[in-house]
Amino acid sequence: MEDLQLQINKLKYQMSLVGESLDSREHPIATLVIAMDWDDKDLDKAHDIFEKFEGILDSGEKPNWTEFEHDFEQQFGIGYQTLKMVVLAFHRNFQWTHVCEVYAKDKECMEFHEITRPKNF
Amino acid sequence: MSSDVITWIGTILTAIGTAVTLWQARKVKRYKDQVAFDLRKISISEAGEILRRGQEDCRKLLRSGGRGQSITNICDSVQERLDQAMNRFNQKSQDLDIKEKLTSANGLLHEVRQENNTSQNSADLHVVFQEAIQLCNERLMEIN
Repeated sequence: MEDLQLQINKLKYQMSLVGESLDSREHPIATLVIAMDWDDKDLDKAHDIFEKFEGILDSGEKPNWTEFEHDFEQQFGIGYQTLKMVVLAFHRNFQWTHVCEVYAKDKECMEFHEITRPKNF
Repeated sequence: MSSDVITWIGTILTAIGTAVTLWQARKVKRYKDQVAFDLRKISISEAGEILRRGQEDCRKLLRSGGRGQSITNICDSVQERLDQAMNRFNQKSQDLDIKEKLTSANGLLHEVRQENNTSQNSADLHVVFQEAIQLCNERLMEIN
């Protein structure tokens, strides 16, 4: 049992190194999953939250971003700073881009310039 | 002093003046050529970098189909990169092979947008990007 735990710790450490060596622009979701220590179900839950707000935007309603942040806080225990990383990763992977763009415009900051401002190169 | 001597002195001074003007004109042309050459190097290098970013987007096109993923947005991003790269090649008779690749990439991207054989066209688009990047790298080595 102890041996198994050691093996798991070793794998965790190796995975964290893999995560660090990934290019977050080229593999945004893989980098995010490793950095957040998520599994596929966690990723699905994040998708569910984005999907919910995509639906709100599609229906023409004004989304409540405090609720968006609260959903992430409740589901993953993350705050605004970490949520910025999640939004950037989804946007870089061209997923739920409408939600990401409206959120980024509402919460304008340096990190979101790559979403809100035109690309240089 | 006869008027002949004065005429000769005038002629010699005019000749010296002409020579200096010609020498300066040559210097300006050399300088202009050097600036054009440097600008071309910078443009090719920038185009290569832009195309590398575009190729990353092409890879996302190859793996597309995730939840909430928009192929149209990926295509828009690839298009933006292609336009930016194309704008780096302003000299008419140079780097025609690279421009040809970019035109071919535009055609393939159009097909992907139309959803005509998307996976094959996306794979071909990725290859054309790779070839264009390769050509940019080779051109930089050649002209350096």
